Amino acid sequence: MKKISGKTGYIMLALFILWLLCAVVSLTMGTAQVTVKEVISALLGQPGDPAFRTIIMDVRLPRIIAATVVGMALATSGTAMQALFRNPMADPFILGTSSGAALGIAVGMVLGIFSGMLGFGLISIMGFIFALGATMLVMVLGRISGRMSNTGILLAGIVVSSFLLSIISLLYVFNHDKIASIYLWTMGGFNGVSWDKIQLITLPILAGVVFLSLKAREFNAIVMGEEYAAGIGMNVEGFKKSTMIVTAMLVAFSVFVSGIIGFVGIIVPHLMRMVFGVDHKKMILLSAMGGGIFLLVCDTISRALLQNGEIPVGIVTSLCGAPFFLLILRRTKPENML
Amino acid sequence: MNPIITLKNLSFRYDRDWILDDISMNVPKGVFVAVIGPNGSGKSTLLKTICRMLLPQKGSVQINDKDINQYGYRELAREVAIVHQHANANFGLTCEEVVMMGRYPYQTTWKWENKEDIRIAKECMVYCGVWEFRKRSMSELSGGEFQRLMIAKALAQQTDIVLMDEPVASLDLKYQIDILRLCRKLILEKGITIIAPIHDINLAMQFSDLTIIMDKGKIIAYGETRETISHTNIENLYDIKVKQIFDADENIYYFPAI
Repeated sequence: MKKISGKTGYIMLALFILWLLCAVVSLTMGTAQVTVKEVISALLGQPGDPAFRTIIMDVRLPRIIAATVVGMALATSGTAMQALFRNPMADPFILGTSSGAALGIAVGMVLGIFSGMLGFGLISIMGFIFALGATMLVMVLGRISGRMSNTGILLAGIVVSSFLLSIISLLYVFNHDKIASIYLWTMGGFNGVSWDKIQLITLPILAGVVFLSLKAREFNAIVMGEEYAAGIGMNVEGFKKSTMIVTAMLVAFSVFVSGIIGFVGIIVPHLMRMVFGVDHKKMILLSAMGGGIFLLVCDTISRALLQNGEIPVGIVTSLCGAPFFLLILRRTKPENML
Repeated sequence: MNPIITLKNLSFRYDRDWILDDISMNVPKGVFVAVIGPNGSGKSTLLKTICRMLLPQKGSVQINDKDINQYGYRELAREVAIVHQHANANFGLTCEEVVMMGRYPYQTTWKWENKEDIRIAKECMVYCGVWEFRKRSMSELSGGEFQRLMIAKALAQQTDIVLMDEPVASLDLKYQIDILRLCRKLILEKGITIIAPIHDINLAMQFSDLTIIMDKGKIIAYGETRETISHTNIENLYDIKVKQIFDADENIYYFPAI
């Protein structure tokens, strides 16, 4: 009955060390072969080959940080949405939040506000507003006979998501010359991530993760049922609204940097639950760390597999995640599912 | 002595029909109030309006002479606890984490459980006989054990009022008696007021002090259990013929005359 037990602390430390190892390995991988020694000397600011230093500090490191932060945001959002809707299938993609954010950002691109920190800020806000709008629309459409229904939410999410993605495709067709980059961006990936973007997204995403982890007791209660949560003194409606706003923000910043990356929001929370149990007091932070590691590994694979060019990271998340997920699923206890 | 709960002209509806229709009553402190009535008579709705899960369109609810709308969320949960009929029993939290949720009204966003909360949660688990299950997943418990766990959680809220929505529904006979004995113990030893819809009239007769008879959203009768659960009231309420049997201690039992 402690907030974070000693055991959970050790698990988090182990995950952090794992992330560190993955990050160092990731810095060495890519078209240009760099050794671990060169990576360390570049990170420590010691003299070395300036070309390698540029590759490490300005190309690979931003990408590693972006993949980690976006992975944290997506996995935490997935955990929050699965608990909030008491639905194991809920994630930002299924519930239309990612597609909403993508539409908002695509509209921003069409309007030409895609430059400089102010432009990045404005376009992220548009993504956030559209993401929040899409989630609320799904919640309204998903009500059957006035009550929120799991099936209704899923169906509404799939419909709204498809509808919004179609609008993005239309925007692409009609503005082909202006926003050719939209196409690549909607495929999902971290190619060309800059420090500017990382500066913009890191603090809000970390703040969002901390906010949701502080709500761990509320997530446990809401999974027991909304009436149960109200019975112990929770402001259920207020909690639902604040969670939706924060998850929409996390998704909007993620989509802004990396486009739509599916699967992370579903697979990572379930993996963490299966291995470490369902208690959100540890689950939210563990999911965040797991998401960061998972997406970092997938992004590294996506750029290391091909000699020239790279595979969209969304394909790698599915290819890597699905078999691993099925393996864990077969071995898991029923009480460790949502 | 002032009543602990006062309902004044309370009416509630979801759509067109009134589920609760102009209900007024007082509940004194430290009694077991059974609520009996046919399905759909408004028993659960009555409970939900008393703990503000449903907001009545007319009338008012007062707890300790204070209007229920003047209570904050956590403040109200320190006055009224509820044992739900349908909580998600498949969620794999450990039993001690579930009981600890009862301490939520005493915590804040930044202040989570402290030593005092852990002590109280342990005390409640021991009192309700679930301490030995503390490390087990809630999903592994039987129906009766789960109900004891839910009562321990409610007890951890340290309220003067505990509402129980059909606490013995779907339990076997042993656990029905077990849970209702625990309820009596809470009343006698801790002075808690319990309001609980109960379908079994004979269990209500044996364990409750007061009985509310409800039908079509109205209170048909309310008073001392042995006077309220009468042959005539039961026959009129369920529209069936009923047999009345006395035992050696002059306890009365009712059975449908088939």
